[in-house]
Amino acid sequence: MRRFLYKIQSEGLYNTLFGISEEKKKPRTAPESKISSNLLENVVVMQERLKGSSDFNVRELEIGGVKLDIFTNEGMTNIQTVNDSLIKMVDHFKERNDATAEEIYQFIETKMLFAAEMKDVYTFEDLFKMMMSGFLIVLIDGVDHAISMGAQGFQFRSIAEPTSEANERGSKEGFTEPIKINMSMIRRRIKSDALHFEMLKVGDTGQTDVCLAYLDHVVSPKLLSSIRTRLSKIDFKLILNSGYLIPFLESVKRSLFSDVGYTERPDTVCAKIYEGRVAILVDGTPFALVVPYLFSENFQSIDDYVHKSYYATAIRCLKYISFIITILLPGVYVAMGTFHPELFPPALLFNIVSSQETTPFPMTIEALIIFFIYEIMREAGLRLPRPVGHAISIVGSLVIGDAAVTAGLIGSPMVIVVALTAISSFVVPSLQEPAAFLKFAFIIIGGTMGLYGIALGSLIVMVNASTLTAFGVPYLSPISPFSGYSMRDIFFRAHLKTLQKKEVRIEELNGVHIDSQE
Amino acid sequence: MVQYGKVSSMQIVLTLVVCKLFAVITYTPVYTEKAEITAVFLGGVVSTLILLAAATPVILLFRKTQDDILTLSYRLNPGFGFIVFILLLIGVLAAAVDTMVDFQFFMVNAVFPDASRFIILITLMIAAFYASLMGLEGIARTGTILFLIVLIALVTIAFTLHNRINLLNLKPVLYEPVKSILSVAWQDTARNMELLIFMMVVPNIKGKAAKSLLGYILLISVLLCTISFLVATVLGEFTFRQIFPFYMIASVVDSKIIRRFDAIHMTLWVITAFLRTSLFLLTATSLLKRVLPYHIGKWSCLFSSVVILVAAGFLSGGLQSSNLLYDFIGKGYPFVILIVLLPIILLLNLKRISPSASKNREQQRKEEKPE
Repeated sequence: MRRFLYKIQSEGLYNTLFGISEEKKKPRTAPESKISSNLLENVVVMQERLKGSSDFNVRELEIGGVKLDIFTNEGMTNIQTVNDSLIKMVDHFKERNDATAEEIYQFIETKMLFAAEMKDVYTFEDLFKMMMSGFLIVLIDGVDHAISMGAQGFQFRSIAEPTSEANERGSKEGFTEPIKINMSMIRRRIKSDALHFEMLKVGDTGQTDVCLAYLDHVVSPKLLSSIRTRLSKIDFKLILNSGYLIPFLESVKRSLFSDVGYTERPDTVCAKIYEGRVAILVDGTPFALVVPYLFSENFQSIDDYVHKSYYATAIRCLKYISFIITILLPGVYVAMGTFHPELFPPALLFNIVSSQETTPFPMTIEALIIFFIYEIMREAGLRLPRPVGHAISIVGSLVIGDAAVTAGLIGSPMVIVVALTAISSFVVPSLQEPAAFLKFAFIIIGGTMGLYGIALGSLIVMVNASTLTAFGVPYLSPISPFSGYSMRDIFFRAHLKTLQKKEVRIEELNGVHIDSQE
Repeated sequence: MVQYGKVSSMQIVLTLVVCKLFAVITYTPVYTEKAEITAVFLGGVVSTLILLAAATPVILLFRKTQDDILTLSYRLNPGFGFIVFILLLIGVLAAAVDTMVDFQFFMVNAVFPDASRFIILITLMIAAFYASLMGLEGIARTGTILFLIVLIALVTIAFTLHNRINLLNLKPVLYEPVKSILSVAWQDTARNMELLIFMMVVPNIKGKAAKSLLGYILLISVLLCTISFLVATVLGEFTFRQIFPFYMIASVVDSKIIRRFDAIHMTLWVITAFLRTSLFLLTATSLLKRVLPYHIGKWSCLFSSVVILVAAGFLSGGLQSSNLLYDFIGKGYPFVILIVLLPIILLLNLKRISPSASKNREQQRKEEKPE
């Protein structure tokens, strides 16, 4: 009985009852094994591990009397590079039959310049990682390690304009999937030896490349340590998207807002790095993560710094107002229409009442239905093929804009509210998730408790945002806690000559307390 | 509140000002002693002087030490400290209950006549409970933002009312009996239960606590005088026929865009009541956590919330019961005992309870970077 209870405690009730032990749940990984100097033994091990997978190619050669095998991954290696290397080797040793393994190795190490990246590999685990990253692997009979050569030639999406962050006068380059290309895009913009890229591997099975990019002389060492600690706790086998890392990097699990930002733009990443933040690039994803990320950054864009300061300030204020409209307008409209109609001017009140007289549903239900239909259409618009897109927009405008009003299902003022809310939500796309949730929440609260409920709900949201800290930096900083000098780029954008006088560093904001033990 | 992190003095001051505004805007002259309208305004001015005098021991005490009032009391004598703990706990719970009772009284009478008072109480308590769980930093940062909102609202109200201000509603100063001015002034002063919170958050303040308190007193005095002036000059004698005159002046306003401002004014009530209840609940939680063992103390917030909610539900049942706590606090008993007498006792024994008080203060000032 005691053993049974102990087993429940250590392995859990489900596993105990259904006999799945912790040992069985661990992934089967072969122990690390070293490469031997016997080529045949190495080839046997390779064939056992690869199990005849059809995307791996082996080229057996004998050059100068020495046997060697070249392993490549089809589709990931540049064929021209492989051919060039073979030709060069054959050409050099064509008249010799007595070359030694060491000579072949030295020739490859010192005389072959086609690959900038060459690395000696001593274990099969490292060998497979390199091969599956597109490296060419050379195994020489008589040499107890392999040579990996950077000969990647896989196809990837070319650099294009970012789809999620359009701008008027800024760069039209966006990140792509290969991490090395993204790193080079950052390096081209920050030509400083202080820019440091730190490579990590995340995911037991996927071994996805993750890169931390930061400026050595600006970034806080505690921040870096905290990020490394959090990334080390990721237990996923496969990382397919940078979004997989976000929950592990966030400081608070249950918060409406996220303190991890993402961007598709290399110029934005460079600006963030320069303020002491850390950018996290993930291989296979065109979205880089930026930590720590503050609330006010959702309203900043690269275009703010190319316009005149008065115009940029107006646009910045417009974004804040748009966000408030997105989350509050439907709820306030419902609250006023249900509980406080005396607040409307008489002419508007007459229109609202007359439209409500013909609709079968209360304002709250009407708002919920129409926003639900809007969310369906928005989601469908994201997923459907482009040729069908026009049809959806026509259906949407007819169904919601005209037919529903004509049929008396909803009132026309509600359509205006929906349209204004929808347009406003696209002004600040990075806050779309909390905005969508809060919109529905405030409709329900406004419909049940009026403006009192809206006020109370807003206060709860404010407290939630105020409490959130992004790696020790208060999320609402520099608004609260107030940092006077940093406010020059929050609600208004000061002149660039003013901005250049003192740089903003994330660590120097008020209330910051970065803890490396997180 | 040693369990929480440091906040800047500005954050604490602005948060406490917003809390105090609740007491100002819920002033109900209908149920207070009869006074002339000028006394309402002059009482606000005189209360500043009384408050400065009454808070002098607190200022002098916290010039010398950065410890909170409970720690100092325990150092003086454990038995005395326990008595102070009980009194402080009763004081903050009473202030929280009074806030909730006044708030529901306002909501049920002025905004939602058909609403159940329990819905008002429960919803406010849920919000305050959540804020208390988030801790002092969250509330203080929220309070800073809310102060700006409240300030904008007050300026908007003042601006929209500027053409309705009638200085003839104010009589010459010498026409008013001194007793009525002092009565109003004392009521305004006695409703400064926020100083209890201040005395508990001193260890959490970055910067000089005494200066923060002075700033709080001056700021709240300016706001009190301004609001009293608006009420007195806009409503005049009509003030004494209104349950909530500050709310009533919003009904007088009419703009082209929004017909009436009273529902918007209601948000001021909600903001101030929420912040006040949250802070008092947080203080009560902090007090209990200091005394109780950990496995019991972690339920302090829930326990305090339930106690406050039950007491508020009971007292809000009728007009007389609603006024019980209002009158008790308005007469100044908690203010005199906890905010005047207690600091004086500790100040007289300062050398015994904090022999190196001045030395510690200098060291702490050097260590902390003021915001």
